[in-house]
Amino acid sequence: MALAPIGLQHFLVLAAILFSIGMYGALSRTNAVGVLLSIELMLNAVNIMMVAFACYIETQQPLAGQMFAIFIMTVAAAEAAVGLAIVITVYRLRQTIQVDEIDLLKG
Amino acid sequence: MPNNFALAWLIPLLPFLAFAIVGIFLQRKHVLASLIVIAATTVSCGISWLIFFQVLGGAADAHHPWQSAIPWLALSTTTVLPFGILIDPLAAMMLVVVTTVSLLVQIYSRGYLWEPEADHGDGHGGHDAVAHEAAGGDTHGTHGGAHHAPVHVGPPPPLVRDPAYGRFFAYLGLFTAAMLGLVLANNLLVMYMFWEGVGLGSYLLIGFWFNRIHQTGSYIDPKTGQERPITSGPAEAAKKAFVTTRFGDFGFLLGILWLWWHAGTLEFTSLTALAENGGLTANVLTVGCLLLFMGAVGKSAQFPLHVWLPDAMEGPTPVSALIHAATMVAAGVYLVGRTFPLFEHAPAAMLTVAFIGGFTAIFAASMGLVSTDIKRVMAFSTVSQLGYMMLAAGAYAEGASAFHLFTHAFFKALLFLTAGSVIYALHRAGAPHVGYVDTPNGQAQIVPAQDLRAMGGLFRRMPITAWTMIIASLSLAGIPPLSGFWSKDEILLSTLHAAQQYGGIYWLLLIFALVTVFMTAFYMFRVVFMTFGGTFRGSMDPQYIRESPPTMTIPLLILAVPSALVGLWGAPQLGNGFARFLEGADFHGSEMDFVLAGISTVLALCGIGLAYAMYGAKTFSAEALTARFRPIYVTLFNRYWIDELYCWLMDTFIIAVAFGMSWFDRNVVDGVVNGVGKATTVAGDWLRGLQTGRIPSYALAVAGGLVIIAFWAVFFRHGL
Amino acid sequence: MSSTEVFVAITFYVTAAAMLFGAVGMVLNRDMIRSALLLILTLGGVAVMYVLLSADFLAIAQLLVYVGAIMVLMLFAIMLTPNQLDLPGGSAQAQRVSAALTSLAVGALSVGVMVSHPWVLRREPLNMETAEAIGTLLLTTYVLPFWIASVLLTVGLVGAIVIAREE
Repeated sequence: MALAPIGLQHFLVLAAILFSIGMYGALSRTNAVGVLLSIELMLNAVNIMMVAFACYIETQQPLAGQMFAIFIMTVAAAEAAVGLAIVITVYRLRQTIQVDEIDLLKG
Repeated sequence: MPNNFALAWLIPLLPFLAFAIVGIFLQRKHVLASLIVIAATTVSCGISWLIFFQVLGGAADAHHPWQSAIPWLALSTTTVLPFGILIDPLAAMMLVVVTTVSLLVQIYSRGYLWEPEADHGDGHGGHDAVAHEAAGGDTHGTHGGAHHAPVHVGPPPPLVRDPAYGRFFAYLGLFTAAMLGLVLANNLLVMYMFWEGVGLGSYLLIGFWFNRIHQTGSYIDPKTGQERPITSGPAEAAKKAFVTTRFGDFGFLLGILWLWWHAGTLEFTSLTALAENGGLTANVLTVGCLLLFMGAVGKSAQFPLHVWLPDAMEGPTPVSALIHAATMVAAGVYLVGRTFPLFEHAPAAMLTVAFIGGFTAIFAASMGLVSTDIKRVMAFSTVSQLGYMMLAAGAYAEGASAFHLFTHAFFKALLFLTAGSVIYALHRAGAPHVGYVDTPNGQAQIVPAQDLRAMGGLFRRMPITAWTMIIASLSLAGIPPLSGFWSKDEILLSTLHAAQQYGGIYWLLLIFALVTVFMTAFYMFRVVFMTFGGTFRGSMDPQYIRESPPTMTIPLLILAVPSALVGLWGAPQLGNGFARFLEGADFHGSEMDFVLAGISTVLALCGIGLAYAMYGAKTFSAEALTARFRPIYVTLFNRYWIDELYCWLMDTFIIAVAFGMSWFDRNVVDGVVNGVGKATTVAGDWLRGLQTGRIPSYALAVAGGLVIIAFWAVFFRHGL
Repeated sequence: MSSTEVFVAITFYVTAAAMLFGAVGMVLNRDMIRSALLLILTLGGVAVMYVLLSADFLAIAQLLVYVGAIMVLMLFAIMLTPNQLDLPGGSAQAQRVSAALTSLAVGALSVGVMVSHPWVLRREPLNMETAEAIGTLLLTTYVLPFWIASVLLTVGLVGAIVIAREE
């Protein structure tokens, strides 16, 4: 397969691998910003998948995948902004952003 | 045929109303209370006699009984249990017996329930054995006599009415009403209801003097041979009676349920029809009859539930006469008689009835041989005679059973009333509450007014009582031509016929019956000779002993007539009137077997003769005989240690059950409850672990759920 | 294979390697600045992939928005929260094992599905200039999402300011 021309499945597999790496990071990193970074990675992996679909698969709406990707990018931006605002605030209050130290809801 | 059977509804109702009125309003008005109850009983008696004569004239017979019922319990729209009365020859006969004896006992009680005033104030009273510590016992008198420090010097104190006089009559009314209801019942459930009512009446009447505690009997220690008193009281005796009969009643109830389940009806006529046309199989009937018989065993004090009757003598003597001689204990026999067609078709049950009856007859008679309390001897005698009735029923001779019930009611009631007369007279003459006699093994404490060893030489002083007791004893012993002879002979005859027809056990039972004839005559005349013969062995001055007042002696005289003569109604030579009356069209006459009659008469005469020899002329020494057969004597005196056995069984059983229950409660019940609590705590602790408050672990949970859903979607759904 | 395809293949594999390197590095690195920079590498790789997929507008947008804005924002946040090294805590071991397993499961599942699914492909892969097309679509077919996205951005902007301002 490696010698076949690059096709849909190459991009999809790459996206899947990036997604799982990002998921690992989101679940295991202890720095809150690190978690956000991992989440951005996951979102990008999905974006790659969307655009690949737009390129290789016939859709009812043309360029649907790319439109999807644009909106994902938009939302990711907004989410990153708000998330970082929260991180900054938590740091200001608790002097720490290690996620396992922010456990006031511990039962 | 025109009849007044509808009046029968009044027969139990009037005494019950008397009970209610007296019980609620008139307990303090002694004389009025007694008169109201006596009046109610008199009216019921009159109606009973009227009905009896109408039945005698043919207004109803065994195959065409008269019934009247109202619907009572509606279990569904189609199943309604009736509350009704049934009149047939058996019921008519029982009505007459119960009302007449009741009436005479009530009149007798008017005179009996008086006591010395000294006993009055502190709740103790009456002359049926009261213990006071006051009577010292340090003197030793002559051998064979009772002795103690005399309480009174000079004429004995005057008597006053028992403070609970009104209550007594109220209870008598209640009992009479319940007994009459039992007799008239037309189905098992109503009969059971009144059966319990009779048990209640018996409990109330036995325990009439419930706050007394005194000597109620004696026990011979087998190791030392010393005779020691048993201290108890009427309250205990009442409880014992009630609980023991309860055992039987439980079986009765099971029997009712069993029959209801299998037959769908509880009415006697319907059950009879079903039994006779095969609607109920022999196995079903056997189980049902055995269960019903348990009730009869309890109420009629047959072995092994006989233990309550001797103790029931704690009640006033009229109560013993009415309930424990003539009526309540006959209820068991009556039940067997009512359901006789069911028993007839269940041979195994029949055999059981016969065996228990025959065994009880000889068993109880053996205990009566050595008993020293005048009333207790008669109690054993009652148990024994009831055994005869059961034996007859078990020998397929319902007529003989009913006939003996009929004659026994009269002479046994008379016997008890005469005993009561003696006790009353002794108490009136100043008998102390505690006394002592010498026995070969030391001193024994006795109850002087009731112990045979403290009586004697009363014949001249109480002639009416003496002669009536002799007549009743002769009847009981079965000396012709008195009534007991005819009924006992019929029983022996039917046992013989059953033995000839079915063989086996019935021969043994016949032997038991014959031996019992001898024993009966012996122990009864032992009582007669010890009470009336010889010289007075008591501790007080015999000059004060007089005949009882007319209110007591007149019932004695009245009862002496049927005790002597009523048997002639059933004599074969005179047409077998009783059997004809009872069985109607089924009647098959029986010729008298002169050999058997002769044997039983000879046995009876031998018994009387031996009693005379030992206690009248003192030819043989009673002490020598008891010394010779010491172990047997001790066993009989201690009533075969059955009371002790039951006590031990109850203790062991109750303790075992208590241990089991306690273990169960502590480990299972508490275990479950505590376990639930603990489980909740543990689960809570574990669940708490999920609330880490840490974001990564929550995120992990989300991711985990995602994985699960993804797997499910890929592998377990088609065409996602 | 033609030379174009060879060229595309080489580009793809090199970029993919770089992306993977960046991703793994970002996830495992304890120093936050380094993580952010490695992520920037990965995001750059994503832009190259967009170019290969005929999403030219998207590639530039990626660089401008993600790398130029979002990552800068992240760097700001990192610098404003100093000394917060990504240190493993007490229960981190179990956490990481579980995380690894979970992500492995997801990855394996996804790869398996994608490889085995019979895709119905276009006759020719997309090969057009997309900027004009995207612009038209944004204002015609996708005008509602466009509008909502703008509202979302406004809200996010205001919200972020509200959350983070000093009292």
